[in-house]
Amino acid sequence: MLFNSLEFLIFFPVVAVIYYLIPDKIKYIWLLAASYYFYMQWNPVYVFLLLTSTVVTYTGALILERTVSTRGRKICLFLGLFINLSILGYFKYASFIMLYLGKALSVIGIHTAPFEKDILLPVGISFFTLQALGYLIDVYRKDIYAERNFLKYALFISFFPQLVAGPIERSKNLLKQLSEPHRFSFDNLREGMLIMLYGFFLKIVIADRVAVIVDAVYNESYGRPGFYIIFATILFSLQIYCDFYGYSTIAKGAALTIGVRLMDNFNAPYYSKSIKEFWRRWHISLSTWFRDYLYIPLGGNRKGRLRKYINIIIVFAVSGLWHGASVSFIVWGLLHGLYQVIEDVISSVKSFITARRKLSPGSELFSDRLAKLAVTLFLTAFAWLFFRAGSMSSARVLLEGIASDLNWTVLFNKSVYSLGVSEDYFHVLLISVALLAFIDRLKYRGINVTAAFFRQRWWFRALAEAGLLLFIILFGCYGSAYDVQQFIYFQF
Amino acid sequence: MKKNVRNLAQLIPVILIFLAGCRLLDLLYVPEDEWHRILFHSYYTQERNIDQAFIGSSHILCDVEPLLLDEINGYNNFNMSSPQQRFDASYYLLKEMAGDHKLKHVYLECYYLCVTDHEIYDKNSDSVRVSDYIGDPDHFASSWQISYAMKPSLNSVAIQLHASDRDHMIENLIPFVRYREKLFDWEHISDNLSNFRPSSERGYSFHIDYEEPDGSPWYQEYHIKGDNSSNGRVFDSEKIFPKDRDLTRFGIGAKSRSYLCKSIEFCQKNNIPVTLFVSPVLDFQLLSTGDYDRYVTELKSLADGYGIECYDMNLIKREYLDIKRGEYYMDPEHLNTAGAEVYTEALWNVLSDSADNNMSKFYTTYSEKLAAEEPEIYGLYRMPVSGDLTHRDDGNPEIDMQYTIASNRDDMEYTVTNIVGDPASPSGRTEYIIQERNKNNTIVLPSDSHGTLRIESEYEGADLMLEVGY
Repeated sequence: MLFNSLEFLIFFPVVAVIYYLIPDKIKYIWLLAASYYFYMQWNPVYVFLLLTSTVVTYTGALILERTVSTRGRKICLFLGLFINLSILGYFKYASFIMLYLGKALSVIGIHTAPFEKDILLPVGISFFTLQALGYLIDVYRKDIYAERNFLKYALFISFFPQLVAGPIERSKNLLKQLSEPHRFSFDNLREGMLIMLYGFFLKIVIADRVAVIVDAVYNESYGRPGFYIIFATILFSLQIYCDFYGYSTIAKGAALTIGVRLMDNFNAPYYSKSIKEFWRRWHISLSTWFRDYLYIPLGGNRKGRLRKYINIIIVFAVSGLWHGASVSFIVWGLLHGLYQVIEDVISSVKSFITARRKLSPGSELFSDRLAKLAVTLFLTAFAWLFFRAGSMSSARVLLEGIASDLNWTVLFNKSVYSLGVSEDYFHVLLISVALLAFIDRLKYRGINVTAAFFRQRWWFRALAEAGLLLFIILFGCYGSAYDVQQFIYFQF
Repeated sequence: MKKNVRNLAQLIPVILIFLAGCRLLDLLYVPEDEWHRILFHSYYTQERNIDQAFIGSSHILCDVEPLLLDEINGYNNFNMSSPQQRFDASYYLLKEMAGDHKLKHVYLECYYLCVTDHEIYDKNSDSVRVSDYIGDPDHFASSWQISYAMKPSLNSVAIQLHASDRDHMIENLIPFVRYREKLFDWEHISDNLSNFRPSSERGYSFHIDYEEPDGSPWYQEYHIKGDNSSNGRVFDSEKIFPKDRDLTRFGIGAKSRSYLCKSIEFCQKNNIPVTLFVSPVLDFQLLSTGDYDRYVTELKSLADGYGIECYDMNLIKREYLDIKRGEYYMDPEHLNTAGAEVYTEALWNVLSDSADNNMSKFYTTYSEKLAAEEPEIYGLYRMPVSGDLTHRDDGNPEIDMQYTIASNRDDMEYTVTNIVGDPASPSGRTEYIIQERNKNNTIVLPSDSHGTLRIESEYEGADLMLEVGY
């Protein structure tokens, strides 16, 4: 059941209305039932994986809490991690591992039959596995107490707004909220609906429209002018942002409608002036998860500069692998790791020179900020090429395409309108992106956009809300003329 | 509580602005259909005295003349019909009429094209699937138009809610969404704006002019009480029809049957006599269906199940109705005014007579009728050779088209000549014989080729000849 489907538009209000009508004691049970129903819409059988992950980490946390010896606690944690990661590994990486194992063996003369089992990736498995593991590690570290009520814990793992593509919530934030019954609040309803509306705007007005051009170029890149590939790659940067940010925003709005506040997963990432800053603003729940549960346990920056760089590279390689079982995802992660290492080296050298020459750092000029912004955008877009290509061979074809034909005039002779989005819709897209850039700019400056919006006069709010809804209905990619586009992050 | 009420009140301007925006966009994008506007204006101005309702698709509005019927039978007759009307809409319209008027008799027209299953291309699954007439997205618009033109009522809401499948639900509820492909079509918008006048100012009749292939003008007019008139005609060169039903394979669709049955049951429950009938079409169209008799039998047995009469006017003997000629038709499936006048009188003669008397006026089957009539070449029907519906409308010239000669004798031998170029100029055209005196009745030509096929036959001493453009 996709957020941008009619089924969800019926499912969600029914769940919310019943939630507020039923007695407080059973509210969380209702949400749990709704969440499992929501998950079962993809593949009912895979609900057992969700249940297994839940049971293993629930039981593991209870045992951890009662175990006194360090060794016992470590064994318990290891088992919890092992079982969960094995499930994730089998469903997500078995084909990938077997493929490369086969290749490696063939190098030394051992030929094996190709691994032909077609494993369907359970939707959301990467997200709920990390969320469950985060909880288990928190209990191991004694940061939180283990949850005694199994149903409440099961809801924490399966809460439908964020089940399939995050944000990957921490038990400290979500578990307590889900345990408490929430009374109807008009403010939550109105804010939640507005946030959802904005999420739909991002997804079906921008991301899905941009996807038409990106798919047209990437699916048939051979023989395309190089600037088309560059153009499509820049648009993919926009698409993946609006797609994933759109999902997270709808999830946040849906949760808020029933009184639950989810964390922000994005904070104007494309205004970042360095890759390091980008990762503080992009997929925040994942990057903080990796920081807290991988980077810091690896030693973080506490064990010297070289070790810090190695840790960064490891974390980003794992992050790439987490996104998908393909070398191109690993390359995408490694690129980001490498960017950060280089950034850190440059920054250190700059600091060293500044200190050595006793120069005053001074205030940053606009031109410097602009250059940094442009470089960051360029670097992220370059990495997205590998991400979108899906395989190294495709990435190579795309890079060769860029190198072989750099006739930039194709961008101005209106031939881009033959890629599936007409000139008129391009203008609509520009207006939409301008609105997104404006709102992101406000967020970047630390303004709480929603709060600021609700401080405005009633007529302004009414006009903006009704106008946004009409804009989505008018210009969104939905209905019989369009295929409902799955959210990109569902595949991870 | 007070805060919640105040907050809820804040939603009112949002809803009002949204509705106003929708209305504005409807005005810009949704063209008002003249037929439905005039039909429902006429219906709502009837003084609760409609006696007889003729309900169905365009067959009713073209073929049955309500004003002529008023003169003949002295009742107030009303055609509650619209183009492509589906049986679910007919059912709710019947309920609406029965609620507003004391109906003395209901006549349901059962044109095979509007009730039978057929194959359609399904975009979602990228495959061909069998669909009922009601479930075919091509026919959603008919119910939308009806519901928009009706005054608000439970029945109009029911028609609207049943109009489409789940995929089209937003189009169903918000009319302008259906015209999103015309979002930047300024001509479409300016056309709609130029027509933006109060209904009363535009009047309640409508006239539109067309041109025949020979250049002669013809018209179509919409009048009150669901009457359409036209002086168009079907020339010999136009006797060609696409095969879009295969009645050998498919019968009445489940949904259509269900609503047809509901309509009959509703009438019987409310003591309103009900009769089924089928209006005539030209024979080359009927022959394109394959086994039309299968449909005749199916409909008849459905009527028998309810103990009601069912008359297929395609099966009537020539001495009672002789209109199977192009001069009586505006197109192969609809009568023109001349045809409708003759037909309306003959129809009423049948409908007002007893079932026993009517029995002798009809052939039992369509095959029986074909065999009983003089040998004749009716025309052609065509279908893509692959039979693959996915390619039917994509304009792909690679697909060959199969043309089948429609005649009433299986053992007829045909000489077929293809005439390419200007048929009026001997020097500017080329003729070549495709086959001579052969029982083969199918000709395959590239779908992007155009010309005229001359079909000749000598049968039992009669020389038959027809030239049809393709």
